[in-house]
Amino acid sequence: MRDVEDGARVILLPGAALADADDATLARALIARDPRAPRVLWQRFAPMVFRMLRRTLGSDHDLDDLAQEVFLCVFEKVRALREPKALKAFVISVTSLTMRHELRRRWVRRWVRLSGKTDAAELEVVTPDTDAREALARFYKILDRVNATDRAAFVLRFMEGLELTEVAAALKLSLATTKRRLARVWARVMLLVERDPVLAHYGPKLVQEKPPEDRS
Amino acid sequence: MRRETGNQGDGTGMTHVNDSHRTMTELVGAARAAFGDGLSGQEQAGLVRFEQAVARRTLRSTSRAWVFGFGLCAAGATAAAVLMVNRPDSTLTFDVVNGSVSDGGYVRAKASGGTELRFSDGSSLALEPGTSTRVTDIDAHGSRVLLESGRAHVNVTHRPAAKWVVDAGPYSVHVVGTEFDVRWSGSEEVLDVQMQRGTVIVRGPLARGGLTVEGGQHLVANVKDGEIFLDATPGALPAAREESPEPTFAVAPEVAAATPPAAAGPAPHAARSRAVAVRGMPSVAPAPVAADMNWSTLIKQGDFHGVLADAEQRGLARTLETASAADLNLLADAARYVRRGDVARRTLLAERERFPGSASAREAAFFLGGLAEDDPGVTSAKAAVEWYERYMKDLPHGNYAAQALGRQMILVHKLQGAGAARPIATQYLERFPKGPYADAARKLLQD
Repeated sequence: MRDVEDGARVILLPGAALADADDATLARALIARDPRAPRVLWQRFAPMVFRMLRRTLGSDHDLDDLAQEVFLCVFEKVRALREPKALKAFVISVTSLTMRHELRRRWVRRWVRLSGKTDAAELEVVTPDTDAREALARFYKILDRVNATDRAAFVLRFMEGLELTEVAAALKLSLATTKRRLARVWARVMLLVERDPVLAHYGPKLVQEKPPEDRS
Repeated sequence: MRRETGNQGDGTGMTHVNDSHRTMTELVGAARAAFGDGLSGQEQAGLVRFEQAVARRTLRSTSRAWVFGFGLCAAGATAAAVLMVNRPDSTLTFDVVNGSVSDGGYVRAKASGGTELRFSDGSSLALEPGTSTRVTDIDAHGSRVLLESGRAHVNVTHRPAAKWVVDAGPYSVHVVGTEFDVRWSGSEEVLDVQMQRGTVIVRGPLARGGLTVEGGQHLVANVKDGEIFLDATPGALPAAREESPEPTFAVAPEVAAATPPAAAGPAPHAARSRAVAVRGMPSVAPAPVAADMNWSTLIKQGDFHGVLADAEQRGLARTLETASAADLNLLADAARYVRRGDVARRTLLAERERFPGSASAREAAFFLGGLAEDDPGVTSAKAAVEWYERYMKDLPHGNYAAQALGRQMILVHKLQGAGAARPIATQYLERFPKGPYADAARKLLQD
C-alpha cells in the first residue's frame, strides 16, 4: 500500500527513474515485464512511430490500429533483442515491417477494388496550403505506385533522415541492396514527378538525375 | 540518428543541385512538415489500449493450462494418450459510455452525467459527473479500477473466482460480487462505501488487515482523523434512494412511547453490533494472545477476540465492576468489532453508570444507539433514536455527531414517516452538508 500526500494514489504509472532511463534500461525493464515499462515505451516512441506511419501512409484513422500492432509486437519480441541499447532501432524495424505489411495490404485492396479510397485523399486534412496539399496528394499517389519495400526505404532515408546503415538494418537488407533500392526508387519517383502536370509546375523544370546514394 | 537536413546535401559527392532535385527536396520537405511529431488526442489515448492489451497478453502467457490425460489400452495397456488442452482465459473488455479518456489514460465522467464503464461480464461502474477513474488492470477474473476522485456506483457480476478491486486513495475495496456506492475525496481524505448487497473487504489505514462490510452497511473512513465508522442499518439508505414514500415499517403510537433506552439493559442474546468505530487502530489482523499483554496492546494489534477472552477469563461481571474507564472503553470497542453486542452493551452501560459525566460515558450513548438498532422490532428502533438524541444533547459537537444525527434521521423516517424526519434532515444539512447522510437528507427533502 503506497500512500501519497494528497490522499490520491496512482498505480502503474512509471516512476521517474524509469521514465528518465536510457533505452537500454527501458529494454531491460520490458524484458523483465516491469509493469511500468509499456507506458514508458509508448510515451517515448509513440511520436516517432506515428510520424513514420503518417509519412508512409498518410494521415489515416487506421494508424491507431497500426501503432497498436507496432507496440504490441515490440512488447512481444523485445526478449529477442540482443543489444538492449538498440531499442530505438528495434522499434524502427518493427514499424518498418508494419508499414510494409500495410502497404501490401492496401495494394491488394486497391487491386481487387475493395477500397476506393486513396492514401492521397487523406492528406487533405494535414496542410492548409492548397498548392502544397495538391502537390502532396499527387506525390503520395506517385508513392502508391512504388512497391512496399522501396517506399519504406524512401521514407526512412529521405523523410526520416536515417543513415544508410540504419535503413538497411530496419528493412533487414544488405547495405548494397539498400543503396540500389534507394537509387531505383529515387529515380522512379523523380521520373513520375517530372511527368505529373501539376508537380511539373510546383517546382523548377524537372530533369532526370541519379540520387545521391547511387554515386557512392 | 535522424538528420534534419535530408539527403540532398549529405556530402555524398554531389557537386550541384539541379532543378529535379530541388523539386524532390521541396516535396519531401513538404511531406516532412505535414507529418510532424504531434499526437492527436485519439492517438494519445492509444496508450490505454496498449496497456490493456499488454495486460491481456501478460495474463494469457501465464494462464496456459496444460492438462495431460493418459489412457491405457484395455487389451494390452501398451499405449498412452497425451492430451494437451489449451484453456485460454477470456480476458474482460470494457467500453466507456458517454465519457472521455484523457491524455493520461483516465476516464473522466461528463458533466452531463450518464458516464458508465461497462465490462464484458456484465459488471459496470456508473460515474457521477466529474468523477475521474482509471482502469489500471484487467484480466479474465475482473479488473482493478482507480477512483481518483468522485463517486461511483459499482455493480459487479458475481462469478466464480471473480476478482475486482476499487482503489480509492490509500484504500482498496476488494469485491467478489456485489453492488455498492464508493466515494473518495482526496481533499477531505474520506472514503465512503455504502453497500447495497454482497460483501466487500476494505483495506487501508486503520484497517490494513481488512474490514468486512456487508450489504446494507455504511463505512466512512476519515484518514485525517484516523477514524473508521462502520455504521449501518440494512436497507436504510437504499430505501431512501428507491424513493419509497412510505417508511419501511410503521409503528403504533403506544409502542413508540415505550421503554426508554436507559432501561434497556443488557440484551438476553448475542446481538450483532452494527455500529463500529475503529479509532487509531493500526491493524485489525488477528494476533496471538500473550498473557502479559494489556488490552491496549491487544487492540493495537487488532486482537479483539483476545481482549474478550481475557475479560471473560477474569470474569466479565467482576471486570465491569473493577476495570478503569479506559479499559471499559477498550473492551466495548473490542466487543463491538467482533459483534458481541451483549458484552458491548453491558460494558457501555457500566461505563455510563460508573463514570457519569466522563467523555467516554457520554460517547457511549452513540454506541448504545447502534447496538439498539441491531435488535429487531420497533421498541429497539425507538430506543436507538433516544440514545442518539441523548448523545446529541450531551455532545452536540462530538466526534460522532454527524453519524448520530444521520441515524436519528433515518430511524425517524422509518418510524414516523418523512414528515417527521424532514426537520432533522434540514438540521443535518445545515450542520453537515458534506456528511455521510447528506445525500439521504437531500433525498428526504426532495420527496
